[in-house]
Amino acid sequence: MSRMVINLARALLPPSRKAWGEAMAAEFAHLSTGQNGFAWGCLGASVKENVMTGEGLARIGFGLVLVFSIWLTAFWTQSSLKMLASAEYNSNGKLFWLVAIQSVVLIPIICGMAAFKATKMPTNRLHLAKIGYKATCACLWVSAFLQLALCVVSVAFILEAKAEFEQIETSLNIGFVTGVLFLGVAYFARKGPHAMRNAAGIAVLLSLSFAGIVAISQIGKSEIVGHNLVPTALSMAILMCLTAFAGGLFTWMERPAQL
Amino acid sequence: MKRNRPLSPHAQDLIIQQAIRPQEWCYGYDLMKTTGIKSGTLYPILMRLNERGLLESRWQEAEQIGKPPRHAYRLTEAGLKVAHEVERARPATTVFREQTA
Repeated sequence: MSRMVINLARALLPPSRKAWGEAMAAEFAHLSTGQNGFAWGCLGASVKENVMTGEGLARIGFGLVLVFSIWLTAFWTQSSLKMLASAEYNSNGKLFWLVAIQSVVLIPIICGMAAFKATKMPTNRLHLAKIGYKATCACLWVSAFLQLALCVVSVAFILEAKAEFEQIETSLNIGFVTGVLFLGVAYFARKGPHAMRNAAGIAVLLSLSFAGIVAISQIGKSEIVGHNLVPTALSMAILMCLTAFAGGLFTWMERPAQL
Repeated sequence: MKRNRPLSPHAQDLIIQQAIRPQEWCYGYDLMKTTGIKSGTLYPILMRLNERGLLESRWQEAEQIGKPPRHAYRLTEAGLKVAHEVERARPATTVFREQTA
């Protein structure tokens, strides 16, 4: 029992304290009496290190992100597969929904993987900036390709004439607009966090301008024909704003501390 | 900027105890016995003292065959200096309490 406790204490310590975990376990191996008390004390110290230090709190945060990501992925996959099984779609319809499901499921998977990586290594801002930047880039690429795939499948769906155009037009528009936008930002973001910040900033301006032009063109019209692109463009502006913020944050985190 | 908080009473006890034999490397269990500090308090103190450069540590080969190497601790020059300062600054009541105990 006490061996299990000391092993748990060693496992729970933040990565920067790993050597201390080894020290505790080695000392435990040399004890002839009082092993139980020693092991429980070490476990207490280990828990305290997680709760009282910045690194420990960051690990708790990453752990929560990881748990939430796993839950969201499992929940979304399970409910979507259930929906797919019950609905009567043709092969293109099923493919369309499968791609749509993947576009949502892959984001928490990427975030969860980034959080898992962050919990395993000593927390420093340079290291976290690198993980965050890579995860954001991966999200941009995945979103871009899946949105474009959604767009292609939508076209195939329409051409097969099994669905009404109005039923699929929304995903076609959104897929195309978001796909191109995400692809553009992901392409320029390859150069680093500062490029991600700048590209996403330009994308915000483009999205807002687009929303403005569409909104102006709709003035005086009593009924909007087809999908209303204003909310889509505004949603894109918000997402790009978040990307620009993330890029700015990672740029700041990578900058050496000024004395 | 890193904050250097004043040492806790347990940490003060520990470095004063260590300052008695400054050249000697001690193990965690020895420190627990000499100071009466439990492992749950001792190891966080050792970590902080090590971080602040007051304590140095190294792995030493075990005297018993088949046992893993042990982590040993010793005060650094800075640690010794702080230990002497703490000893001088300690209120007389604390010293009296320790003596009577």
